Parts: sequence; structure tokens; C-alpha cells
Amino acid sequence: MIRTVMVVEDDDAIRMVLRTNLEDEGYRVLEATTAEQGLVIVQDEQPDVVLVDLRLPGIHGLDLVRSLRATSQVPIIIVTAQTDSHDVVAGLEAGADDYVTKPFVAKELMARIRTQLRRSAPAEEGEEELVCGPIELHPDTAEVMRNGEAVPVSRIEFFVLAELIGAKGRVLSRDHLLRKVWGYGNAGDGRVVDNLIYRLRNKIEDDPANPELLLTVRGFGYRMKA
Amino acid sequence: MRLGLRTRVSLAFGVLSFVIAATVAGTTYGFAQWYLLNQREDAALTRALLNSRAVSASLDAGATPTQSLEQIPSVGSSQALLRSADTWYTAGVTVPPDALPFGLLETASAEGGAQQRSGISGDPYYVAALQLSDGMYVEVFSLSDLDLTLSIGGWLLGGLTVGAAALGALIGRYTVGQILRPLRTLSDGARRIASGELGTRIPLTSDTDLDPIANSFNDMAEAVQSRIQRERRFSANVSHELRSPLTSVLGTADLLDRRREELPEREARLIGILVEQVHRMSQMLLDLLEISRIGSDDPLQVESIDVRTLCNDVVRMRNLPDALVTGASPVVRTDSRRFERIVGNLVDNAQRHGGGVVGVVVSETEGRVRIAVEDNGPGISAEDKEKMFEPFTRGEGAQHTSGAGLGLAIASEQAALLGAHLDIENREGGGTRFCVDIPVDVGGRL
Repeated sequence: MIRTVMVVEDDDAIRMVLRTNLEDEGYRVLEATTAEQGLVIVQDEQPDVVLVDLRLPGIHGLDLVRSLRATSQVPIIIVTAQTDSHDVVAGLEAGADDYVTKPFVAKELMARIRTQLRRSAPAEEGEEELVCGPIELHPDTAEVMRNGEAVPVSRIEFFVLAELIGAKGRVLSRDHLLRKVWGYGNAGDGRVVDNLIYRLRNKIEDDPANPELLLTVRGFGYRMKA
Repeated sequence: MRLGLRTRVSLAFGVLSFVIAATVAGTTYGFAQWYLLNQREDAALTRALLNSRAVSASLDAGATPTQSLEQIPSVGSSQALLRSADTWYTAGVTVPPDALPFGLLETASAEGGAQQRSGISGDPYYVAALQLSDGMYVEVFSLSDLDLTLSIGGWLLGGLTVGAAALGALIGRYTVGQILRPLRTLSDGARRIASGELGTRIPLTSDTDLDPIANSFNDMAEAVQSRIQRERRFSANVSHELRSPLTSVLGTADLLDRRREELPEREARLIGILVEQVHRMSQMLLDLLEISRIGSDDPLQVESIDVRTLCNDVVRMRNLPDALVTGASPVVRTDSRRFERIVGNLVDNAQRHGGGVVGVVVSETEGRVRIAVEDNGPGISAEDKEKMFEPFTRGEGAQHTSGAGLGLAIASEQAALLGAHLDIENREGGGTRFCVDIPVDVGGRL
């Protein structure tokens, strides 16, 4: 099955490089040079992954991420030349699942895209359903149920939950999660994990400000209530 | 050694006060002495004259010299002597006749009378000698009481002079303090600007002498601040503008690299060089951009971090065995991203220039945690140690490696932000140890 990756980027040369790399990997590539164009194409073509440059002419990349996230769980990777922490944090808070900074190494970006597209849970295939209190995970369909009701989660959110529940109450460090779920080969940014945990809490906790299921272990990482 | 301004001004004030007070005191003393002595001498001379006449009359009336002397009323501390037919007669024996100044008697016998102040056996006296028809009348007045009065007065004046000098010095000191206070405000302001508080301004005091200084200081601070902000904006723009073309160059080079087998050998070799150099340039540029941005507009994100876990993650990410990390397992409160960068750069440095990491040792001492990254490298000479954390420094024999020599400089700058510091030791038995010494709580420093 051929996967579709959409690239929203106004720099022609970078778009060309991305297209070539992606096509070499066997993806179908959609291109947009503005956020407006991007929104239309996403609705028409339903891509599997979206790469968004933050600094776009017209509507800002951040707003595009927010609009996309409002209607779909498509994995979003921000590609940015801005490395100031507030840009990255703003992107993650807007709903992006991961980010790469320019200049990026193509191999690394491809690995990230592959991670976002993974179909199967990182846990052993065929494992029984993962359960933690009111939360139930179905690895075969990548669905999350809370008290029997489906909760819309992105793929990466599902995998983080699966990792944490699979650890059966053990603490997982942010770097462990970055390697296992995001597929980082070298230094990752812990804020990616923090933001995703924040989003997950909003979906599975009764009171996200006082989590009872997804707990922070200061100095170490995160764990699920056993 | 040159004395400080405050000491010099105090001294000058002290000396000046001393000179003025000493002049006034000296004049006063001189005048008092002259006046009192004159008064006393006039009184004494009058008395001696009256007495001599009485003695002379008595002798003329046929009294013996002793009788004549005895009829003189004894007043105070004066003492009368009479020479008659070369024999001395005295009333009282405090001053013996042979102790009288000889020259005085000579003058008196020649001129009919003489007077003089004279020290006799250490005490001051006033001596008046008067020639009689047959003999000589001498009266000696003790000046001891006057001398005591004058010396007490002298000491008092001397004390006042010293006091005036001390007071002068104190006033000098106080005055300098007043003058230096605004200077201290200025130097505090300059120090705060130097430590990065660019918004520092000196408050105006509505003092016409001081405000111009404060104003020019504030103008300078304004200029420095806007200059630095302009440079920061510039560097951020450069960073952003450079990243896009660098991305496409890097990406294109990698794409070409992947198709190397399809190319003739000569072109493939050239592409190899291109790819290598583009990567090198890219790394150098990223390091440079990072080093120029450290500390600016990027606040610390302080959280609790388990040091062992962090070190384990650092070595694992570089595909090194976990077993390298040994030692304590303390928790520190600091910025994890920067801390990880520091440890990571030390490990990268050991891998690149030190022949590989042989150990990452965590230890804890009072309030600080130390992470020592040990390698098997050639060691570092004392003079190289100094330069080690400066940008573009690479150890000997490292010229052909890919690093730009910025890793340790970045680590050092980041360490400074966390209140940590880096140092280098040569390991006993060969190899080097790069250490980072970090406070347990970065908040405790700020």
C-alpha cells in the first residue's frame, strides 16, 4: 500500500529535496506552498503524514497545525528553521507530534516519518489487549477505549500509551520513550514527550490537572498507575 | 603602593588643619608667654627697687646687714641677698650666693643695676641686682609657678592642634565619601550591565552636579542595550536565512551521495568530498549559531533530573555500552537540555579526540555533583588546558578530524549558565579526564 506524505513548504529547493527523498522511499508526495493550499489538499487527499514549515507566507504554520489538528488525527511533523524554544513549544502545543529543525539529515527525517506511520504497536504483536483502569487499548485496530467509549488518539499517542501500559507501572524515562516511540537515534527533545503527555492527559484523565492514571515521576519520567 | 583617594584627601585635610591650628596656637602661646613674663618682671623689678632702698636706708641708719634684710617683708617665693664688705648675707637659703650669674653682678657693679632671667639648678628665676652705696642688693624671684602655667597652656594648645588635625582628616574622609557615593552607584550600574542586566539605569537625583554624569551613563547603557538587541536580532535572522539554503544543499548532497554507484568513479569521488565538506560546514555553522545564541532569550527550564539516568541515555544514544557509567545516582535540579548537551559534548569530545570514552563516573560532594568523562587519549599539556574551552581549539593531531573545535566551548558556555564549571585532569597512568561540576540545585545559585 502506497502511503501519502504532504509537504507544506514555501522554499522550492527544500520541497524538491524532500520530494526526491520521499519518492526514493516509495511514498506518494503532495506539495503545498501555502497553508491555505495545504488545508484544501488535506481535505481532498487525506494524506498519511503532513510535514509543515512553520514560517509560511500568509497563514502561519502554527495556525495550519491547529486547524489540521481540530479535524483530524493525521500525524504532523513540524519542519522549522526556528530553534528558539518558544517556537518549538508553540508547535508542539498546537498539536504537532514531532519536529525537525533545518538543516535536517534526510535519513533522520525519513526515520521519523516511518515511526509516525507505524501500523503495529511497539509491543509484541498478538499480545493481549492492554488495560489500565478504565483505559483499554486494542493493538490490532490502534483504538483506545475509555469506559467503553472510543477516544480519538493519534498514532504516536497510541504508542506512548501502549509503551506505558506495557511497562506495568514501571517508570519510563523520556529518552526511553523518544527512542522507542519516536525512533530517535540521538539526542531528542524531552519537550516532545511532555507535550504529548499533556495532550494524552486531556483525553484520558477525569481531571487533567490532577492526573490519576498517567503519573509524572520527577527526575525520571512517566509511569502508568499499575 | 599608591594610597587611595580617600586616604590622600584625608591626609591633606589633616595636614592643612594641623598647620593652621599650629600657627594659631604658636602665636597665642608666644604672646601669652611674653605678656605674662613682662608683667611679672615689671612687678619684680619694682619690688626689688623698693626693697633695695629700704635695705640701703636701714644700713645707713646703722643696722647690721642681717637686720636690714630681715626687715624686708617676705612676699611669695622671692628671696633677698645682700653683699656687704665682700660678705654675702641671705634671708633663706634656696639660692646660694655663688650660684648667682657672675656676669649679672659684674654688670650691676659697673652700671649700678642689672636684671636677668636665669635658670639656677634647673629652676627658672628672675634675678635683679642693684648696687648700693656700700654693697649690692640682689633679689631672686622664682618663676616656677609661671612656668607651670605656661607649660599647661602649651600642652593644652598642642592637644588642640592635634585634635584639629584629626578633625580635619575626618572631615576630609567624610567629604570624599560624599563625593564617591555617586561614583559607587555608577560602578554598581556598570557591573550590573556587565552581568547582563542591560535594562539597568541610574536614577536621577536632581543634583545639578551629579545628574549630567548619571545622564551620560544612562545614554551609554541605552546605546549598549540597543546595539546588543540589534546584534541578537541580526544573528537570529542570519541563523534563519542560512538554515534554508543549508537544508537544501545538505539534502541534495545526500541524494547525490545515495546515487554514487550510478556515477563514473571520478564524479563519485568528487561527490564524496562534497558530501563530507557540506556536513562539516553544516555542523560548524550549527555550532556557531548555537554558541552565539547561548543565554539569549532562552530561559532555563529547571526540573529534577536523575544524573545516572541522564548519563546512561547520553552513552546509549551514541551506541556505547551502559556499563561505562558508574558511581553515585544523585538527583539534581537543573535545565536538562543544557545539562545533557554538556555531558554529550564531553563524551563526543572523548570519542573524537581522546581515543574513546573509557568511563563516565558520577560522584557527589557537598551541594555539587561531578561527572568525569575519562578517555585514553594522549593527555593534555598545562598550556593547552587553558585554551581548551575556547572556540576553534583542537588538541594536537586532531586537525584531520571533522569537529570544528566548538563542542567544548559550547559545553563551557552552557555550564556557566547552570552555575557549573568544567575542568581537565590528566589521569594517572595516561588518558584525560574531563569533568563537569554542577550544583545540586541551580536555583540555589540564582
